[in-house]
Amino acid sequence: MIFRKAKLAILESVLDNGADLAPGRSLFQDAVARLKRNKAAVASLIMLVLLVVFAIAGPWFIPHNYEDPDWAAFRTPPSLDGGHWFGTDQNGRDLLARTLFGTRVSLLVALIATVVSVVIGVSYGAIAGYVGGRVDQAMMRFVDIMYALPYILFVILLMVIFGRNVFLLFAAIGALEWLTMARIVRGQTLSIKQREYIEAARASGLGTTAIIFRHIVPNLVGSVVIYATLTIPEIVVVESFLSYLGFGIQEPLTSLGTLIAEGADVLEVLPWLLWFPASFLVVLLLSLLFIGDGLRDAFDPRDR
Amino acid sequence: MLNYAFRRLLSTIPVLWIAITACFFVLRLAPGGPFDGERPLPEAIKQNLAAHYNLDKSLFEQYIIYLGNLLQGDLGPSFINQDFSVAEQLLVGLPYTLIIGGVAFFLSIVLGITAGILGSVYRNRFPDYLIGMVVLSGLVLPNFLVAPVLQLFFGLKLEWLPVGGWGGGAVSHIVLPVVVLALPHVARISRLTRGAMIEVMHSNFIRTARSKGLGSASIVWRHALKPTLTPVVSYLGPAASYLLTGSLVVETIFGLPGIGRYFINAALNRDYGMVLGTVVFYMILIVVLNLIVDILYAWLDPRVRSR
Amino acid sequence: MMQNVDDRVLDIRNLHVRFQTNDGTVEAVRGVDAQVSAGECLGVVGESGSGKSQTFLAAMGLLASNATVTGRVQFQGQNLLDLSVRELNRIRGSRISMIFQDPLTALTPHLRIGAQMREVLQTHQHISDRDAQQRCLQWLENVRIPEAAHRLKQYPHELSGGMRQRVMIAMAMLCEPELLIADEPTTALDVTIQAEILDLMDELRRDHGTAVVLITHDMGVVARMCDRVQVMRHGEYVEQGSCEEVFYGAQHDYTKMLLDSVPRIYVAPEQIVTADKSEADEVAPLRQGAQPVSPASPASPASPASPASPASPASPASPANDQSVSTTGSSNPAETILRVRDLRVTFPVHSGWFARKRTLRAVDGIGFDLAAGETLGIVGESGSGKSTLARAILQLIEPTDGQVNWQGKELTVLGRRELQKFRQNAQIVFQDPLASLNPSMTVGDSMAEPLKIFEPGLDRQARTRRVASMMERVGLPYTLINRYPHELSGGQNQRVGIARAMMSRPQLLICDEAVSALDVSIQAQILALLKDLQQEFGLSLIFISHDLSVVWEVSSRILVMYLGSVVELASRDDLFARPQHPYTRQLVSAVPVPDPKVERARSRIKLQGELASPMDAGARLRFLPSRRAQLPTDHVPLLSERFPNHFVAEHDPLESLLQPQGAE
Repeated sequence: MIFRKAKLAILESVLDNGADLAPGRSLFQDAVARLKRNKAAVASLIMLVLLVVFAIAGPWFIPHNYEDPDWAAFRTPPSLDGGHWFGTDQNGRDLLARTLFGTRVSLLVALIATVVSVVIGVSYGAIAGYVGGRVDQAMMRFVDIMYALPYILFVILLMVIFGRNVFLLFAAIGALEWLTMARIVRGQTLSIKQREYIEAARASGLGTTAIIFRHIVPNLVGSVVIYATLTIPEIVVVESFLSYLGFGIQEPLTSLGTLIAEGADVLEVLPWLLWFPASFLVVLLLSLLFIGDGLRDAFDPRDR
Repeated sequence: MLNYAFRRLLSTIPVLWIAITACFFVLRLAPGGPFDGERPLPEAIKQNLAAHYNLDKSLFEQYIIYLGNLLQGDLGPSFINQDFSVAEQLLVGLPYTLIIGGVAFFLSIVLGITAGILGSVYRNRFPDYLIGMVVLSGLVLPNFLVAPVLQLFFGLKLEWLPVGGWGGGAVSHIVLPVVVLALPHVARISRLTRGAMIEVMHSNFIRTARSKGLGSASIVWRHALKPTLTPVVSYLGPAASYLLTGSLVVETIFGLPGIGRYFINAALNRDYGMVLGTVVFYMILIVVLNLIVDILYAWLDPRVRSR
Repeated sequence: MMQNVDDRVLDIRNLHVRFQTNDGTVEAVRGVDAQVSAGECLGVVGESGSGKSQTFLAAMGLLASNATVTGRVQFQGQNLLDLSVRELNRIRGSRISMIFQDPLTALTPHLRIGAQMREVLQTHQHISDRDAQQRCLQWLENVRIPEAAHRLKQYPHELSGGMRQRVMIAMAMLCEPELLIADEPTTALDVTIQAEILDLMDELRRDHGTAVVLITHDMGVVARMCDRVQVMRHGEYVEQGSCEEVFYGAQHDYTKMLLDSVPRIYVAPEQIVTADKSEADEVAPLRQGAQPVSPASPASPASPASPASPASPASPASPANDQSVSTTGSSNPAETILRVRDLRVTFPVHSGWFARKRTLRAVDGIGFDLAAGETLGIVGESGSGKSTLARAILQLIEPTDGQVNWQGKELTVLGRRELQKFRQNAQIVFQDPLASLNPSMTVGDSMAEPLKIFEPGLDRQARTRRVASMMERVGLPYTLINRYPHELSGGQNQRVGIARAMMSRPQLLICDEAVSALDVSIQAQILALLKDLQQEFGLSLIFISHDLSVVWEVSSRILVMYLGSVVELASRDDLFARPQHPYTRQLVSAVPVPDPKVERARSRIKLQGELASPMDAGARLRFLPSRRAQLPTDHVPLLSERFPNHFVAEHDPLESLLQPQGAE
């Protein structure tokens, strides 16, 4: 007993000094370390950051504006000394400025729509998974139904009714893209809920809210991050798709999809009008895809 | 099995009903009627038109009439192209869409699964990397980008294939639309198949099959294929609806007279009747396809049936 | 036991297995030798991670592609490691076959039993479909599967666990191989089914002269089955020899430790009130002054005369149709802290939208008392409802009916705040150490959480101090305080789980299979820790397990559960000295004793029929077949006090329930 007291005293002093306590590495830190070892993901991340910085900061350094024509230069092919590095379009607008602006718009749409879809998907999935039983069955049946329906048609339907409002477009895409997120979150919640640490928390008298926020939500973060990363490129494509068909971003605003649509029409004569925006889109999608895959492998390191 | 199929069929009816109802009310409750064009119509003509399209009745009555007509296969009138009903216009476009979509669907499944299995069998070797490249291009190249590029190369530069049009259904006219439509789904299905196959090959029952001395062909075909296909089959439902959406672009770019084009035109012209009719028609198509997929699923996994 | 070199079926020399992983090369097996002769059973024992399975998977060429195998595996004059897959396939399944631990996942889910069996014959022997069918049928009957012809048309998920493992054995034996490798064949099964499967394997070995390699962690299974034993640790053999040599003269410290860690059921000889003394005398003593439990021999017709005879069905029972009798072990009622009466938990079972609802009665009218400071062991097989009972007592699941009384307060009617007070006093420790800790919290935070709730006045530093002292108490170095569960071993995590449960200084600790997922050496340490804590804090323990010997080790009284109700409740020594209920007697006789001489001298009680599912309404009357006609199918057998403080549920005489001898 005396021995133990002596030992405790030592321990206390150690604890108070906070010394010699090896910090542990959480699963999250482990995943980040694994991600860092994934060359494709790291390269994609750098690429993506460059692209974003370029799209945001670029326009300040370019002498041209995305909507004002340069009366001296119509249909100029790209060249380094003419001032129009990416060339100009039929209206004499600088393609570099337009591409950067379009990238900005596409990213903004994707970001807002992803946030909307994450918020709806996570709450819907978490509720279904946590409540369980009949409620869960009904909620998931609804998701199944929605999943089977061609949701782009609904977006188009909404566009027809409410006109071409860009902000509505964000919301509509986000409001329809949450299905997979809801499914993933619900599955995770169900499996976490059955974990014994939830029961242990209940046995220690922890309330429902505390259980959800302390024990369930932190363990959902991994899968939500992974899936959100995979949602962004999907929304970029959807936005471009709608813009291409004429339901999305309209003149004078522009997006990568709109630019590609314009470029495709004149591909034979003014090919650069397609190639530049298309390359931006493909690089963007490619890096997001690799980052998403890398995240998934890092958080769920199964043999693939 | 038949019992299961019947139960599934029954449960699709409320699904369809809810979806149709939602579409109907969203369109009808939207601000602005179909005839609130830029040029205001005389009040008398407006009332005539409203009476003709039952717009003077209460919303609920309109809904009941619409459902009644629907049961008889009448998708309602088109507000712009008033000579033909929605159903008549869709029937004209349907064969084109079904042929292109069906061939692309079939191709996606066959090529996707084959590529996926090859990828998993030759995992991390040359064939796997090659397939991986194709898959990657299918995942990151959107169809509205692939289509014009292919048109340029095969149509204009090489002059091997026509740039567009139906051409009486000649194979050369179908090739490009089908390729564009199928590419992303070949990619997704092959990715799914490869992942699932790798996972299944690590499962205990495959180890048992190997311990029984079965050859690798027998292991893959008899033991691994069915469980591999379950996630693939559950993707087929969504794939069908993605294909339909894809056909909107493909039909527009290649100038094919399918229902996708009718839909886009109707939407751009704000032809409410046509838009509603097409969406409802699409939904019926999709729900039926999903029903088939569900039944396929039960065939693949005997445990589903007893549930 | 001398080995004749010519008899050798399999000869492994200097086998190494290395795995290429992301974190570098892992050497799982480091230079192992093993020989098996015809008709011999070689036991390979080791704890998890010892490389025992890898050795033989490597010999069969069944390892994943990131494994490198070197050494020699000589089988019938050829080195298996040199063969191509095609050549190997001629041997696998035909001359060497294998059975695995988990019979559910080891069979292909979408193929019928018949198809999976036939393909073995069609691959290795070119025989007609009809002959193949005939052989499969024959083998299903050989492994004593009832309605064999019907089973061939069924899918694996339609069979019970024990059935599936029989199918696996039949499939492995189809080509009458020279060598059968069994990798933990009974670990996933209940103990009564384990006994049947082991007997079956032993019989096949004797009848067909098949050499058997039995890979297991269970010393009792080894004692029952094996001629020779090899003990493995960290990829190497630490000891090998005949079964007797290893069990009675272990040389290596690890082997000794392993043998010492295994809980052994023994009862002091003066306590044994066996039905026929003769059998008890035949059995060699297990330890000095101790004697193993020997259930009454089922073959003896003389036993009904003894006081242990089964009660006649008409014996007086409690008036209500429940099992609630005042069953506390202590004579002083004031000491009783927990009183459970007629507790019921039912779950509705939905099978589809249109199917009619059924009710699963997981806990069905259970009653018992628990005294302060005592340990009540609850033992039952899978589906007996023992975990549900634990959760219902703690109000983690709302009981459907009945009372749970904690120190005079009725828990089932308590409000939230009062329930909170109870929760401080009653805690639970779970089976899976990793799953019972939040992966995103450090172990220190997990342990501090109950303090935040029950002693909100404490500041951070005080909490840390309390956590550190509890870590010290449960034998964890305090340096682990900032670690995450995935960085700790299973044993360490279970200590964290116990520490967390102890943080609020509870009076009752429920251990739900708390040591079942652990290796036996760790298991022994955790059991010792629990006993220590009980002494120091005056804890009452409810110790739930499927493992009778573990329950024996810690409990003062034992409650035996079957399909949600009590079949027998008595003090530990009384229960083992004179088990009354046929189910208890079957259970006791099925537990393998880690002592070859004792184990092989024992005879087992085999009752008719399979272990029933709780969904099966008639199953409750399994031990009362004579009154099946009179009683309603949901009748819960009544308890009666056959000896002082020894309660037994009504049942028919054991003799009438035994498996007919013809079935052997």
